[in-house]
Amino acid sequence: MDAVVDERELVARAQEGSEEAFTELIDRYHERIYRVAVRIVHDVDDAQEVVQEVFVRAVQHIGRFDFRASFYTWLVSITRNAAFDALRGTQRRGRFKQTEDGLDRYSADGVGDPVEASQESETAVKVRKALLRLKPRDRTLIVLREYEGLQYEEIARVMGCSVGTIESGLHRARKRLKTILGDERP
Amino acid sequence: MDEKTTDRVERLVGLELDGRLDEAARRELDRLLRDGAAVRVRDEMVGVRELLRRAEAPALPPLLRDRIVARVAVARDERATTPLRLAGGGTLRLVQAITVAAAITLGATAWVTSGGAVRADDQLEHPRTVEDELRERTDDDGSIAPYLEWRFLGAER
Repeated sequence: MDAVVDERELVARAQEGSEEAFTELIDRYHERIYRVAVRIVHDVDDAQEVVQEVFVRAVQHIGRFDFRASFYTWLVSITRNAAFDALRGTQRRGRFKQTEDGLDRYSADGVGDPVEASQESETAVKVRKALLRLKPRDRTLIVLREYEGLQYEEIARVMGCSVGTIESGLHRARKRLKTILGDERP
Repeated sequence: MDEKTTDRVERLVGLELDGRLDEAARRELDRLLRDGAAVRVRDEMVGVRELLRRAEAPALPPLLRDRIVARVAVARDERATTPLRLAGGGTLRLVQAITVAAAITLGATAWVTSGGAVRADDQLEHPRTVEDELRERTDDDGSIAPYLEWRFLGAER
């Protein structure tokens, strides 16, 4: 309860314009928001831009946050929108093509850095490539449920749809993921 | 095990993993799991979850926190110092800007009290429209087949 009260007070102070309070919110959540962003957009540079954009939008609209959901859920909602904006921009520029076989390919100018595969374990690379083969919406559902532990109701709020749609969406995404990972088994 | 039963097992196991099985669904899953093929399906789904969780979290780029703080500070400064500009290029002075803002606020207040308020995009709630349903059920490649299936067949993909 203390942590909840503490956060409500922090957000309230940030709404009153306290830069210190908002910076504390950045400190609390930027790492989790980055992880959500990079798992959705699959690009370190884009994910960093997304995270910065998330907190800019948050500080601009924090006055409208009404405490009906957790502050983190609200940030994730902004992250989802910003990440999808980034994906649309990337596709428009032709910088990144999600092909049928799921491998990330780049246009001739080679702009953009993928997540550094050399720094990841084999498992992480396998999971990342499998997630990449999902449609962005399905990937987001998996990220929010499996990695962020959001409940269906929270995910529904983030995605702007019903709990029933989330249930069906997760079922579809997991089914697809199982097929993808099954295809890659030796 | 046929495809339909496999799909049903997958759906129920998903709910089980998420702690959302009710009593009736629990009994149904227990019944289905008497079939070894269903047990294998469940093991595969549990295996997928374990694989996802074994993958380490992406490393945080250095100095990201500082970049965020700096970017937010710039955004705050831009809001505080940018004067209002008219389409023709003229710049309102502060007193004029406050006057305009006050007029807008009065108009907005009248609009709010008449029931026309909206909230920030990220908290927008409105009666669901056909456009909402279509947007939600359109594939990323632009196909509206999921919407048509939902609308006319009552099926969710």
